[in-house]
Amino acid sequence: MAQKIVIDPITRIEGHLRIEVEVDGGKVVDARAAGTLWRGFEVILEGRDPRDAGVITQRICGVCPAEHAHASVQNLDMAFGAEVPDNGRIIRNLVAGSNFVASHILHFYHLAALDYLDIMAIAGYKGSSPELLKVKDKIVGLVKTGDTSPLTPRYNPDQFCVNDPEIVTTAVYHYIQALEMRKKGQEMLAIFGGKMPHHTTFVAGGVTIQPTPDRIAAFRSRLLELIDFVNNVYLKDVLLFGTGPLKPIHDAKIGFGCGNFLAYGNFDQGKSGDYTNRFLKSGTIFGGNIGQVNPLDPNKIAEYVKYSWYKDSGTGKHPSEGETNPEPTKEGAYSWLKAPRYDNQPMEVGPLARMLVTQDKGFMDLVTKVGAWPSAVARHAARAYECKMVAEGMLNWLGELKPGKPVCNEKAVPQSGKGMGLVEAARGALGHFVEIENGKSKRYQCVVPTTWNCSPRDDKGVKGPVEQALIGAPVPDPKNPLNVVRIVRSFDPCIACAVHLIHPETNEILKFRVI
Amino acid sequence: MNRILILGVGNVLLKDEGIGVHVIGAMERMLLPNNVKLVNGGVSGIDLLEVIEEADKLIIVDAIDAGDRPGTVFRFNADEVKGQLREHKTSLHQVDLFDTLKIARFLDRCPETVIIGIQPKDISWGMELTPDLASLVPRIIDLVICEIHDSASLN
Repeated sequence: MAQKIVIDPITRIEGHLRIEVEVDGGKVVDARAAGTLWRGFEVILEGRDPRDAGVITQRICGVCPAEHAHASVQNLDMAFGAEVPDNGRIIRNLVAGSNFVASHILHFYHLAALDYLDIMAIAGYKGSSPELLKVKDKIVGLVKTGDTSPLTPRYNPDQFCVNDPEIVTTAVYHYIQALEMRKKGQEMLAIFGGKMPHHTTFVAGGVTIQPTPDRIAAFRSRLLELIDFVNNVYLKDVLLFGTGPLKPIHDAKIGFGCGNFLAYGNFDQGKSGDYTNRFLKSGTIFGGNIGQVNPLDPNKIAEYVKYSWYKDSGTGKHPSEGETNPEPTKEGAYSWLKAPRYDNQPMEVGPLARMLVTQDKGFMDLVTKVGAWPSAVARHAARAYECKMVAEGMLNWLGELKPGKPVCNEKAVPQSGKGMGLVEAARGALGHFVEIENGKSKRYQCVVPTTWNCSPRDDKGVKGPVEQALIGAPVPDPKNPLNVVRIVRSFDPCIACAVHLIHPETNEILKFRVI
Repeated sequence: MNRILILGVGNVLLKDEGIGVHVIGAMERMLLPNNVKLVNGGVSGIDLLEVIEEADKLIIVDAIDAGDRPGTVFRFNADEVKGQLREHKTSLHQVDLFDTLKIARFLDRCPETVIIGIQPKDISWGMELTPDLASLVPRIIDLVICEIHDSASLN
């Protein structure tokens, strides 16, 4: 058999979000977020049985597929006129909640934390904790083999990186624990989702799985361990980092966003699909005025395409009337993402938006105490508070399940109808919109979280939230754009991302894969 | 008894990219020893850690772009490609399969791993394999069975 030389696994679609920043005087002066791949799911769904949407749209993402299923069934509930029984509503919440908890833990420990740690500091650990000594031995062993992945390399540590040996070694120990914890979250999801990823139990009208006592018990035992971890490890680490060694990053306002926040809310508490009655609330905040939360009005959503590779005739439309007509040669365009706007404003979505809109007490107290402002560090803090809130919320919902009662109110596919499913994925507001004609999907539109956060400029030239957040970021060494990476990652983008840096003096394009 | 995991990965929306998953689908209709587990890994990365770490031997079936003739089949061990599979990075999006193998190794839980890679012909939109690759499925299954046998004889 042939020996291989070059291998490039094609499977995991990577590198389809590109961030270009222009650096001048050691700071970012301009930024463009460009989706480099046409997703096309909307086109795939046209003309298909509407019930296919949940199966197909879960394939948009390997990280939060559960929420695509959630959005698609809420969308169909409305179009089919199906009232979801309580058990169905609660099981959907438990599946979605498991995904939140697993995703947040993964994001902090396995994706983001390493941007803030100088791993080599572990060599200097002088303590006597057996667990931490084991971590030290492991890392020192890896260094000797010359391959310290998965922990390194990233970028060269900068002045903001934590290099206290005890803190760094503990963080890596928690990284290992977090792998176990995240796994429990996925197992919980599979208990009521059938499998993870791409679970199979959500249908229009409810779910296809019964809340049997053994499933409830299996879910609960894992959840209790997770709650303990979230409260005593995750949240503590985030607070320790955010108010201690990483306070300077926060105070430097690195990753300050657009100041507008949008949340559809998640985890229905009454009637399924009623976004005014949710555990994580729906609403909007403008101009950083976090004391004033405005009610959500989905009619104010529109998508603009002046800077996107779509025909201009489709600009400014509500997603329920949205068009997906590509024009890859369009002059001036630079992204395959459209630019969604709410009331003509770019909106940040995600945990920070949700915690501010929900006005979660723990998080709001922190905001008051340390003067938290929409920075990269604040996004991590919001994510940790939300993880605690959702994990503890699930314990209550579990107690509301009624074994033996209905889980689904099945309805036939209607000849015609319109639907809208607004939920939250771990990384932000997610909307699915369907129009059914002759029993088939005539139109299907998905507006995903990263389309909001990483949107290009809109028709008025206003930059998207991530583009705005990058402006002013300190980049003392263009070859080591750690702050750019930190900012982009703090939004937990749902598409992989590459950073291109343009340095005006050399006009050299340096490519960094942050992915 | 040796726990053997056959892991088919790939994106079934992109024709030949889904070859690994199609192989698992075909093997699901076969009688296999009790110690052999089939998993459709789809496009997952770190979600596969929990199934990977429970195996003693891992056989991965995946599409591989080695720039060779479509339908060329490669077999190699994970160690043989250490550090060459990709530049080091961590995904914003997710931790992919090869990061996952490295994490498993970091945790001392990485089983003996064999990768069977197939050069795709067409990875454009579509849920079916191209005829060229579809006709290869029985041969790939034979290779997988050989791996199972190798592992059994060692046992």
